[in-house]
Amino acid sequence: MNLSSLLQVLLAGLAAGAVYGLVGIGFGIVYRMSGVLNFALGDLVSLPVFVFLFALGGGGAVAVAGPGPLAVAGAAIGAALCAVAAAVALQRFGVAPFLARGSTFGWIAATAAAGILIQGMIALRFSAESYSVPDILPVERLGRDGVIDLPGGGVLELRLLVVLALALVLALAFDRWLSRARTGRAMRAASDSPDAARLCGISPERLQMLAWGIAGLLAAAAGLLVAPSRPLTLSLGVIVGLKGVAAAVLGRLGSARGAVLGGLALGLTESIVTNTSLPAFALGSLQLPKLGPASGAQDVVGLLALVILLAVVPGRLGGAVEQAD
Amino acid sequence: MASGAVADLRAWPGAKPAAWIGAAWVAAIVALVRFADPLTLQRAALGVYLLIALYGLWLLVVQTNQPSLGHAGFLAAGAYLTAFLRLRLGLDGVSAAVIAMLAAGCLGWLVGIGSSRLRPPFVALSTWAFGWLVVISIGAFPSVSGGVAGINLRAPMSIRVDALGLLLRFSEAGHLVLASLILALVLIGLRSAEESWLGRAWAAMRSSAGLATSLGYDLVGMRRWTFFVAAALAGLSGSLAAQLLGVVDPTLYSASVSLGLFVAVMIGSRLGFFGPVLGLGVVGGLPLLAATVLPSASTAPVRGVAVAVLTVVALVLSLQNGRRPAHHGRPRDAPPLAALRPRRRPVAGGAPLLVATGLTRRFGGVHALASMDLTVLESELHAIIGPNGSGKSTLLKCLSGSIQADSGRVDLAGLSLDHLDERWRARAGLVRTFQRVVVMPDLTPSEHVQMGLRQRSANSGWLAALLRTPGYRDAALSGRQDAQRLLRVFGLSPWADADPVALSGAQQRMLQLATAVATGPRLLLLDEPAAGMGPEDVEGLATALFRLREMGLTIVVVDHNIAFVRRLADRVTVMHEGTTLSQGTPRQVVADPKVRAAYLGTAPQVVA
Repeated sequence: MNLSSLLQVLLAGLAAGAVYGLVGIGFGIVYRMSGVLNFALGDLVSLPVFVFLFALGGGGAVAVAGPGPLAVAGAAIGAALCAVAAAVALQRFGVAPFLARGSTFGWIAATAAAGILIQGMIALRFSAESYSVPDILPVERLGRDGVIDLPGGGVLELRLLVVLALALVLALAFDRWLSRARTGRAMRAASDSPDAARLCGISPERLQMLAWGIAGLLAAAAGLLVAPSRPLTLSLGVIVGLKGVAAAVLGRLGSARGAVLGGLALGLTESIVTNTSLPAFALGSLQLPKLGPASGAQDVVGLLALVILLAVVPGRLGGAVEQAD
Repeated sequence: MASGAVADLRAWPGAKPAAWIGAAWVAAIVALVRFADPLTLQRAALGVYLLIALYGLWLLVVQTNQPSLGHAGFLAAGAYLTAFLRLRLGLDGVSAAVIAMLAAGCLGWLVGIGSSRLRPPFVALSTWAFGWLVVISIGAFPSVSGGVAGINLRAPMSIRVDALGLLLRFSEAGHLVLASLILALVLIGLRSAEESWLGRAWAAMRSSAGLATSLGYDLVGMRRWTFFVAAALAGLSGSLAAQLLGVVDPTLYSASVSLGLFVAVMIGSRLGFFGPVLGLGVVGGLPLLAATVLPSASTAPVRGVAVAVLTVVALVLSLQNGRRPAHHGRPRDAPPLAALRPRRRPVAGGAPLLVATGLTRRFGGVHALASMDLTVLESELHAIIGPNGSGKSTLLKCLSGSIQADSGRVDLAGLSLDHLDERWRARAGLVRTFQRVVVMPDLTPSEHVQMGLRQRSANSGWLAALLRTPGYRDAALSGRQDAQRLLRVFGLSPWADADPVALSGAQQRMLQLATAVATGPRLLLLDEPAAGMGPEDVEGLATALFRLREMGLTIVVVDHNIAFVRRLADRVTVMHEGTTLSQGTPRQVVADPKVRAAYLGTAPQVVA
């Protein structure tokens, strides 16, 4: 494959990976603050996108170039607020009661059910197979309709660059906040030792809600960034969410940086694997399909990575393996 | 002791109610076959097939504490493989179902490998991802899986009996009968397993990883096997259900179905053995109800919302982790103590039983153990004391195998323990207890102690339990008697069948000790057994330990409490900064000036 398509492949992988990293940061911070794995994270990614569509078009298809920038911005903000509200509500009503009673299965089932509930509610309003989402980034204004011509033929989609840059900036900003800002440091303190933090006047309960809210915000950002580049289906959010979890697991469920690096690695691998066509095997009458672009096979890579990671390196994750005593 | 009949069905404890349930079920099937239309028969058969899968999930979730959130993936595996076997390879329905069952089991084994070392939340995550992996794979390879449309199986399920020259086709009624037969076998099998040593193993798996391993159970292996069984049952169910419906429909294996199965198991989890039946009734019934109330809405999202709402309701109702609490018996009057025959105390100072030489362990720059030597003689009560930070806990963990020493040897009766992990050391006879006592609310003290018995002999195996052989009944009786005897030694007889949560902290610790002793160890390692106990309880503990020593057990106690140690121990080792400071009888050690200096400090030198 020539240079420009290689560049496209790499860039697409990095951009997707950065988005996964954003989602992974949210997953990691919720885990470190409450010890909870948020099974509804993927649906917190798709909820704001559908709210965005709803605000712009009320349940039907939305013309991609139609709405003006103010409408788009307003809808995006509203969508993000929805995601934050949903996340905080989930924490208060679906997780905290079970944590207080020490019921692990309770919050597992509650978060998983919340995810399905969100999916069901979206499906009640949006009944088509897939939707196309207008871009919140006005990338078409740049370059030539959003692409740059490369010397030697081929084009480079600017959108990928913008998404990559934005996602990295967001991740970096969050990382900075966590290490420098007062509230960020308070959050780290509360996650290490809630009791000691209380003695310093920090409220772990408030910070838990904040952590979940941040996770919702990052999920919204991820959703709005990634949605315009693929046809939007109900399960897109869950897939992105699971890959975000994979990114967080790659980053050892530790720091924000780990999640971003893990996401980038995952995105790159995914992009490279799916853009290399395997020859079609013929086994008697059975033909293995080609793993080409624009197929769901791309998602198999990410999910398989997650399952294998959990199997192979559980000891290197914080708290995944049971302790003897 | 009964003898004679190999299998005596009347000996089953639940025989009478089971017979009534069985009779009612048979009557229901006969009535359905006679009077119902094919659609109702199909629904009933489908329900029974789902129950089979559900009991597999019940085994995973409720019995062994492994929340599998992607169980529909195994159903899908069974169904799609069956389609392949039937349509491409031309197998008949029953052979395809059996192969699909085994293949799904192997897939479950793989998933189990992936999650056997994880804590429950991460098991949930791994299986959740697995479930989605299956869903996405179905959509991503439409040339193989038929995509959204699924696969049409065309012909109904049939079985070829060449010897009789017959080709039997299964109608809906046939499926219902087959499903009921399989379910009956599964129920009987699971019940028998619960009564056999497997039930004790499951209890150990539910408790904590540390406890189970310290009692000698192979936690990782057992987890994989339960995944195998649960996945095999799901695969069988998926295969047969697909053949019943005549089509492999991908919407039946979505994430919300997986969650629905999980909810169904959780709803019934406090009801004991027949919980899943109720759970299926609720989870299956509600979408039907919703569909009748909201006929215009499309079914899939309604079902999804219904499942989610149900989950919330179920969770509010059952806020515990599942499983019914232990049987609440009235505390029986303590049975009269058998008069203790005065026994000659075995000479403490027999042959060395446990010899540790040169144990060294560093954590970063800290030398927790610095060439530590320890010799424990047979049938003695040996105490290890030392100030905080002297390395007692590290020594205990190195001896039991929780952590690996950097260098040094540990021998038990001449057998080198160096290459044995914690579980195998426990099986070799070196059993430890933990500082933190965790009580399992769903086992009575008697059952808890029996958990330590593991599998005493082939007579308590699963097959023997299934057939209720006389050997099994003898083994079960002697197991209960052993448990009773141990409870008496530790002063817990009146509470043998009580709710364990009602026991005091000291009694819970005694229960933990009794469970450890039930494994039949050669050497018992006790980690601060008297911690947090008042003087009366310490008395009871001391008496119990004396009795154990008289029974010939070798005991090593790690503790702070010098007074407790002084009257109890035959010999004492004092540790300081990771190595032996002093060793000898309690009197010798207490008088040793080095020990006094370490504990109390030396008088300050007066500078003239």
